[in-house]
Amino acid sequence: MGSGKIAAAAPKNRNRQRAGFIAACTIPALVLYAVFVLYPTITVFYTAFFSQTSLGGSSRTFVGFDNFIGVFQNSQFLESLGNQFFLIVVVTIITMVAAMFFAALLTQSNLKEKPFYRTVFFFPNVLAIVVIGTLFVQIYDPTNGLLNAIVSVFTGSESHIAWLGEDRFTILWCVAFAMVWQAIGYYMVMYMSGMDSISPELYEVADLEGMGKFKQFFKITLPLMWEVVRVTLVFFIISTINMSYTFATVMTPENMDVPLTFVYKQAYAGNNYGFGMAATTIMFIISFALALLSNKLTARDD
Amino acid sequence: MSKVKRVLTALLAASVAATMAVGATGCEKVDDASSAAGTGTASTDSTESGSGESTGDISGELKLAVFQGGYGLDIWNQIADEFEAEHPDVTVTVTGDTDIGNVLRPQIINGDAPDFIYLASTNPSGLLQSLETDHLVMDLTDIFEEDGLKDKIIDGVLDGPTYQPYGDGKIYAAPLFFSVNGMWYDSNLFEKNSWEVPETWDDAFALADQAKEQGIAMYTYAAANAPAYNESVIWPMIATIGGKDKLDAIFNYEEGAWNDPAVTETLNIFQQMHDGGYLLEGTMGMTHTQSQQQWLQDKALFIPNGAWIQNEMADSPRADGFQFGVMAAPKTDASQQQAIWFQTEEMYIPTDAENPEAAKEFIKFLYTDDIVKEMAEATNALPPLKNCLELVDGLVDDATYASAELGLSDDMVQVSGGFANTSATDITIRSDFFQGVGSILNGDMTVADLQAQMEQESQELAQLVTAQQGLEEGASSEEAAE
Repeated sequence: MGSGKIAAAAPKNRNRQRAGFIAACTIPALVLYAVFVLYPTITVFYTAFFSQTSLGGSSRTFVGFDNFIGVFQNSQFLESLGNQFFLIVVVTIITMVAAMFFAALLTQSNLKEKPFYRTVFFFPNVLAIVVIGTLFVQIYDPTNGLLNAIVSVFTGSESHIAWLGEDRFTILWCVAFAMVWQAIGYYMVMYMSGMDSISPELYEVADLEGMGKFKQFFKITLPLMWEVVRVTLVFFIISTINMSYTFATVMTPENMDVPLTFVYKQAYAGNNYGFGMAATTIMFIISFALALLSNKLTARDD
Repeated sequence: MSKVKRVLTALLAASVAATMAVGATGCEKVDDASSAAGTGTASTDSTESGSGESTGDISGELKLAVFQGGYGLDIWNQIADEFEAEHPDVTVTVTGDTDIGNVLRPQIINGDAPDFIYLASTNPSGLLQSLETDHLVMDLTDIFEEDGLKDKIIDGVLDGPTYQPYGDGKIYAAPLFFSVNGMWYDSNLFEKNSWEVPETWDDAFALADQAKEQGIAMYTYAAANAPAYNESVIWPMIATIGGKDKLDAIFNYEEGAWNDPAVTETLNIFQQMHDGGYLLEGTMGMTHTQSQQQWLQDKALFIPNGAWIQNEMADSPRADGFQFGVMAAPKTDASQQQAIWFQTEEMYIPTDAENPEAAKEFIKFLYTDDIVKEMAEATNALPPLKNCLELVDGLVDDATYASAELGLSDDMVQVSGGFANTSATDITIRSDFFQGVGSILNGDMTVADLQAQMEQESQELAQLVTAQQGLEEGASSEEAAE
């Protein structure tokens, strides 16, 4: 097929070689991606249009958009979605501000203990999320928990607050705190590497010009690491959605749902698999849209 | 450039097709290999053990898939060996997992179902419910008709929608274990203070007022991760106050079932617990282990639970002289006949099983006296048989035996079962109800609110019931048969 042309045109031949090389490098990954990500994802979208069990047996019937309509009419889903937005916003803002603050502190100051702090902050990332969840369940324990012990010291009477069994927002703040604690070190390290790539001369000049540290951060540090911030924003949205499933499963199995725990309960224990897949599809679209939105909002004109 | 693109796309398409083909043939190969290995072991085994007396014409491989509980798989392997000894032509393989439901699901979808499954319907994987909805479980009625097995099973156990999912009087699952769930207390604490075990809720609240002086709360439960443990109190109470029919009405979504005075009276007890501060502080945030630990240290008088609690908490610190005691949920009036809640665990055969005859034989084998005794000794679990007490005497722990004695006593009404099956729905009535009970205890909801919510959900579900005859008719035909 067209071998005569290749022999005639040397640059085309090189092009073809290059194409072969690119193909050899990308195809294995692409195939894996297609088999393990694209195919299952499309199956989920497809299943969402059926009423069926998790086995997809004889009871399977096509129901069109009924599942999607049902999801939006389900008050428990809407509440779990509210919880999810709360966690995304709160965890992102607190983690981002705190991680940036510590990153700036560690890069700007010439602390001797810098590597030590870096390790300490990063440490929670080494632990499995299930372990962190269990750890915080112990901290929030109504009878022997650390938090109640601290409260007792301040109030002077024995405290037995059921942190993970109180009203919705107490529970959400408790879970959010655990998630921030888990995430902070990871983003701090990312921001630190962004800050380290900024030339120190800029700060020297700024110092000479009499610019305050605070102003330096907003005029030099933040603009020059904006791309890192953009990337982490997308990370925040995706990872908060994913990790809140594990945190909610471990910390609040019955007292607070996020959309993904709702999906699990509906699809398996509730024997309502198609409906669960519709909720999953909706969550996919929402997280995709959020990631896109954050990318658009933070884009700069230059 | 366009040529490069075209070549790339072609290569991609080809490679995707290639991997899929490889995947498909790969699967087949694995299947072939495993079945070949299966018959291989079967033949060697039959030559090895020819001593056992052959009781049927079953042969081949029998694949068991069992939920791996706290007691491990040893007992299943042991029973498998004994079954092989009795049926030399059969080779038994045992697969166990703590998450066996999710292990089995892909296998069943691929048509590679085991011959026998033991996994309770209460498991969060919802496997039995899915199998029943898709008509993928085998009719086991003949097992129960044979040798009068049905009459040996404790009355009422086989009536529920889990056992008779289609309401046609046919049985699709077999009960392996049952437990008597009630309100547990420290009998040593009661003796020490010369407190009487309360017969009515008035007695219970009066007792709680005394206990409060010693800093002991009345009630705690697994609000944070298993609020449905309250069913051991609520379902039998409804039956105690209004009779078994009232509970059946609820389970079959009958109109007005939730507004019945028996339900109101039952829920009012929980309202009273909230109003009088009878719930152990912090309960709403406690998991089953946390609440059981508090109770074990005499921080609360009562906890709703099953006899597994003694085994589960075997290594936990406890109050000096602690002794497990169990009672049925109190009455609201001394003249009522007390009801008690039975919970069962199921075993079943998928329709895709390759060796259903051997699996049926195995289920019968599990009901024989010797195996029942072995099982009870190893697992501390009770067989759902009428002569359960004499069978397990001396083999199970004190708490389990005491609970069986209480549950099977003549002046106790035994209730079990569950909500009638419906077509696919996002209404989760059972969990919504027990969440709601938590909200009453938390002060977030009134009894009337919860009843209204339940009545509404119930009426929606009534439209979706799949088995038209439902639970009630199954129960009455059962009674007629006796």
